[in-house]
Amino acid sequence: MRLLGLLRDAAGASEASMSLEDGSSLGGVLDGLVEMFPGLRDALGDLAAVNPPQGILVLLDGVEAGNLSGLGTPVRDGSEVVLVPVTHGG
Amino acid sequence: MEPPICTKCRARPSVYHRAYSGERLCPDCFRESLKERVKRTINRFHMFEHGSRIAVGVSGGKDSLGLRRLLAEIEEETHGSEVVAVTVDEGIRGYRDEALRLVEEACSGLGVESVVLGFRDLFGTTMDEIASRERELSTCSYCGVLRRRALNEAAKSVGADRLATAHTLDDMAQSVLLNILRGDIGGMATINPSGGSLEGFVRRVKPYCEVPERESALYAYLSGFEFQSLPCPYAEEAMRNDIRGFLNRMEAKRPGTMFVTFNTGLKMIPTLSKGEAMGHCRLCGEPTPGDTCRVCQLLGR
Repeated sequence: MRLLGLLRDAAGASEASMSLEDGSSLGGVLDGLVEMFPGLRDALGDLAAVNPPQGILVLLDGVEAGNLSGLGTPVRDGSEVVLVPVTHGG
Repeated sequence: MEPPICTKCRARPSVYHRAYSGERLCPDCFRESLKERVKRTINRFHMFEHGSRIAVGVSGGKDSLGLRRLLAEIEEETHGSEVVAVTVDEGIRGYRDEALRLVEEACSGLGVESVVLGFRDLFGTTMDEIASRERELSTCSYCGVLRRRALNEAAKSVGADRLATAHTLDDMAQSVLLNILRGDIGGMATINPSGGSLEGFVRRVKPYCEVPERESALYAYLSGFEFQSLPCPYAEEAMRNDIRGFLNRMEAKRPGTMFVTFNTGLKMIPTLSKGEAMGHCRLCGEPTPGDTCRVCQLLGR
């Protein structure tokens, strides 16, 4: 996983990796990320309420989550998730 | 899971679903469609003339860096206007230092003319100093007023006849609701993307006003821009943040909400704008509808 801009600052890291169980979804990856970096909770917003998230772009292997099945998109082992902040920086 | 094929070129895999239009776009078609959107906005609101000299307010954020790049491309292909980057240094240690570095790297890499104007030079103070003082208003209230003045001065200093800022569709829709909720209906005139011609002011235009902020972020990512990592330490726009959250939720549920909100605000402008008679501030001489301008009031001159 890669975190850009403010998300990097909020997490205190620019990259992370995690092991996934079979059938994991993009939403599960983000939940795991928040567990790993609690500072991301505010930045990612209420993931259960807004799908796909509006305050960030979630890219799975270069494809924005809204172009797939949102946070329900299955994630394969070896995939790259990139989080791009939306609501900061004019 | 394989993404659908791009609905424009029908050749490459799409990376983005534009929910409000139903399009699914590959990176090339997305970038091209964003450029076309900005071109249409420029024409819709009659923003430029052939041979304009356009000062683009570049803060170092994704929106302004994207606008600067797109405007340079569009003007080369169409009006042939010159594009100059103008940046305001508010004097916010850390936050602004990073942004100034990003602006310098972006502009020098493309050979774009750029100028930086500081609050210290213009007003004899900085946002760090203002924030440390006892005050009644929020830091954003000071910064907004002083930044507007500074951008105008910077645009004048480079001989520009237009000042382009990177307000996105989200900014505009938020401003419409903010004005309504604050009861500041007269403030609706500020969302006019084509600006007005007032003596002493470089005409301000907003060519990004129909670009959703998500698409600005995607454009910046696909273009390889570096994103600012530091938040402004003084940001405290509580009401705007609430409205942003509300509009984001509505947009996710009902795609197109932001466009409808913005266009509704535009329809209200002619009914509401009465046009204030402008005079000159008795302290600094800048244009103002009152006896003294907002800048002099805030700085206690």
